Amino acid sequence: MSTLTVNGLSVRTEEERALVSDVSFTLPAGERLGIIGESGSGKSLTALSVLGLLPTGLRATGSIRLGDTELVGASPRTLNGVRGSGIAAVFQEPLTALDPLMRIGKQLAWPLSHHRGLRGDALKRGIIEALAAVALPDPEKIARSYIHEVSGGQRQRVAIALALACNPDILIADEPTTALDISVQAEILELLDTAVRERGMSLLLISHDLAVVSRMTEHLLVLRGGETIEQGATRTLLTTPAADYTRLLVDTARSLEAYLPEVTAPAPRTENHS
Amino acid sequence: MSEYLLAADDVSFRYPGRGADTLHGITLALRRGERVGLVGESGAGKSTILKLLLGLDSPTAGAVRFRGAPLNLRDRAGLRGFRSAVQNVFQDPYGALDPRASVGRSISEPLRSLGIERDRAALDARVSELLRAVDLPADAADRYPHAFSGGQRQRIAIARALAPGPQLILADEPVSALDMSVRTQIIELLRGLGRADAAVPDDNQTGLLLVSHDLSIVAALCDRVAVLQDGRIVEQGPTARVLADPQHPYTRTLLAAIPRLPRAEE
Repeated sequence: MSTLTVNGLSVRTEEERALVSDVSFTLPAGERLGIIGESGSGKSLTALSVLGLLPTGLRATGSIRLGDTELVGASPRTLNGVRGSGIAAVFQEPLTALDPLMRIGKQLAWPLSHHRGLRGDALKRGIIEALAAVALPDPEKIARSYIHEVSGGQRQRVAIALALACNPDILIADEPTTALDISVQAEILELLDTAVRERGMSLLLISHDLAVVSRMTEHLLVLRGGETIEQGATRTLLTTPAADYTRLLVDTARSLEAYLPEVTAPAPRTENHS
Repeated sequence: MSEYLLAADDVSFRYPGRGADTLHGITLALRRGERVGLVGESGAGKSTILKLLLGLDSPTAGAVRFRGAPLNLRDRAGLRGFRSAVQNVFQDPYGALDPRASVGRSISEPLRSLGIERDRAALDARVSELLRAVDLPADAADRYPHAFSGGQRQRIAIARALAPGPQLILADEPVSALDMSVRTQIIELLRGLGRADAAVPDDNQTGLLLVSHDLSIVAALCDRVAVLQDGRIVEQGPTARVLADPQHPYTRTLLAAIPRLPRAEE
């Protein structure tokens, strides 16, 4: 398990326009950090920088270290080693991570054989176990299916299974439930929560939805227009935000929530890593 | 049902070539000035109901009634009256506006195509009025959609919907594509719909049928709510009652699934 340390990360276009400016944060092993921001905040570019997957034409500077390994400017070989066993990702649109022409089981076979050395019957069992672990019903049938044959929520479960198959230390989830129905969202968040807890992974959760992030993480980083607005403990930021912008986000979310009948909201996660 | 402005009367709908109905016996009626929310998840049939209420397709069984009379898609004159009374706003403010038309031209389009106003000066005056009603500067009329943010584009789309002085606006997820910080502004605008518009008398607020997956937005805007699941309305009633005391298990599931912020005083 290693700590992810991002220091002075900037992302610029070829014309030297800064899309992310001097962003720093630390994600210690086993902890959970949420990045919250609106469109254009740079939250997804920050995640893609960590994965070494920035779109062509964008360049990251600064430092991103996973344990002792520097990822900014690292060779494709180093990055490939890190992606998968070190860091895995789940995105908003599961189809971006999944091959429409390959049966779901076959897609899972590669990471399982590559990262865990599974072969033959052990590999077959591993595939079924990986699908069962994300609570997919009838994993044998899902393994034989193509991605267009399963529902949106099930696709995201398959994408999560694919990410978990590598046994990563860190899971990056970029708007993992934004494209899903609200009742499915609750299930996927529950699944991510359990998976991260049981495997002792770190979680970097990126979202525009304050309620989602605060349910899942104990620390928050607020980005706007590529710049850091504020960071700190989730509970502190929600109750006593220092920045006007954070207050605007919190007040907006609360004002909409105020129209709903009160429920006993689950307590936010606290700093307890036992 | 003549007291209703627009109503789906026991409407069922089946897409050609499908083995089963998409909508089953939908009854949903809107009085003038009433604000009704239609809540459901993907595949529930929300968009299909909207399509039928907008007169873009005909029900397989049952009828859509406008001021009590079945909507006849072949009656062109009747449809013109219908279109000036019932307007719509879509989810995607980027796709809803013609990128090559100035904002003024987009906003005045319903007035021209419905033959309500042809005089250039009168159109310009009405556009200024509408821009004021949605809190956009008057010079926005001469600019093009690309110069505006998502929230501003949604204001433009709302101004266009208001142009013919409609009695009802059908809004399909009007804030889902917008950032949180502009969402509340658009909700406030929809709350005051038609009130800041000189063409709409004060005592006649514009009605709203709000289609959304988001119960909090429906709660913010609607007097009444209908919950749609798998092509059926499973629960319908005053918003406050349905939210406080949901009768159907599906309504309870939807309510429970909404992620909440931890409370401030804890």
